[in-house]
Amino acid sequence: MRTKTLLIAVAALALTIATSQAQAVYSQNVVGYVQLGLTNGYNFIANQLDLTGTGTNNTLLSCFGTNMPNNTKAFAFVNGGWLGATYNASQAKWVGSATNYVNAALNPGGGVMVQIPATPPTNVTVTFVGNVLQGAITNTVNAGYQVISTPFPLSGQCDTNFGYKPSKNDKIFTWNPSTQLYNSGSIYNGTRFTPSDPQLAVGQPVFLQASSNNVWGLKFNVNTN
Amino acid sequence: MKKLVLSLLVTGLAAGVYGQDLGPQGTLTPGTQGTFTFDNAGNSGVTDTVLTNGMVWIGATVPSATLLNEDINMSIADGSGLIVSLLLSDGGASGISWGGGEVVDPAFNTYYVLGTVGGGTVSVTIDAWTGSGNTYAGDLLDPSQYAGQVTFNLILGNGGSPAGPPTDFTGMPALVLLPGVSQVPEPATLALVGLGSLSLMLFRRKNS
Repeated sequence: MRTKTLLIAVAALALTIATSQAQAVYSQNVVGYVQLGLTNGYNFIANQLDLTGTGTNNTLLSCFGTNMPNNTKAFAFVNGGWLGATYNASQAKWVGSATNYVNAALNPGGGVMVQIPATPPTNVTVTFVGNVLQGAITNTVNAGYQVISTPFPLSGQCDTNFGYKPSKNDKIFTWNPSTQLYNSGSIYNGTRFTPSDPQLAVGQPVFLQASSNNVWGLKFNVNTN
Repeated sequence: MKKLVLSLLVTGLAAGVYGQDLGPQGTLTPGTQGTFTFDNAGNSGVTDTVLTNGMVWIGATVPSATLLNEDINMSIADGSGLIVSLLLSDGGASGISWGGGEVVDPAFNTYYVLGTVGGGTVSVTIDAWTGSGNTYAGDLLDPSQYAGQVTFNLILGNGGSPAGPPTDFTGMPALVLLPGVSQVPEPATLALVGLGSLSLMLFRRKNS
């Protein structure tokens, strides 16, 4: 009886070792999906999953597929203004001279304003699918206004959780799709954000008014975070 | 009697020039109005005479004024009335000074200006005063307190489609707080006071 128990224990241990060894050779790529509900009007969203793992090849079509309502518009904030692309449902493609700018803003770390037209369906769910970027990534922050997000599909606070070390007088604004207005913002006094460290959801970018050039260095590892 | 009432009215108007018509204008009305945040953070005007990018200064005279490093009361109004008042008496201005002449609404709210459009411009007046009083006018005649006022065109946010974020007081001239008694009345104020007084004198002469 004792031998049988021991044999079973050894077998279980061997299985555990084999399993753990097998896990060691698994690919480190982590693939996930994020679903975001969009409403009639403007929605401020970020794609935090990557098509190829390079963080540079995402496009309107790769992110949104072909199920968006006709005349949906997507805007990127470029050089102090919004540049847009429009979805033509009958041709299943995005049109407009600024399409490349919007594509670039859909790489992890960016953000876009998506306008769902008033004609039905006015509520749309988009599903971003792709690789979860890992490791150290640096977001460049330029003095002035920009749209920015964490490149990882995480929720948390900018300073506390995402390690953004702002410059004094940096301001952050988030968008409220219900009121179609920016929420009251937060400003950094050199020590902390006032009135509070901005809380971000997965897929939520911010409008950052930076007082000086800066870098936003982030690290993320699925196994350790 | 009719003349006396008229004279008193003119004199009263003159005295009222210092004060603002603090109407019941709202502060948070979502819609298409222009927006701003109450702060001059990031302004870099290096003197107390700059016309934009101004800091807040305090002192006995303009040349000797120093950059503000203490909490004060502040309010902003446009032609329609008061937009918001941040007061020390109720804690709304507690922490408003960031030192070095920078002031920031402690709540960092976004304010909406009725009757404007996103991205538009509105003429605003900012009042600033020390002490526990709730009005700028109250400090003007109090030599132990300091008060200052600036008027400028505020470019508003929430413009464009999609909208941009709120703007701030980048366009603000230097705001200097001086002791109450050193405030010099505007020529128009003096003229109105003089007119009122003259009317009173004429009225008295006729009666005697």
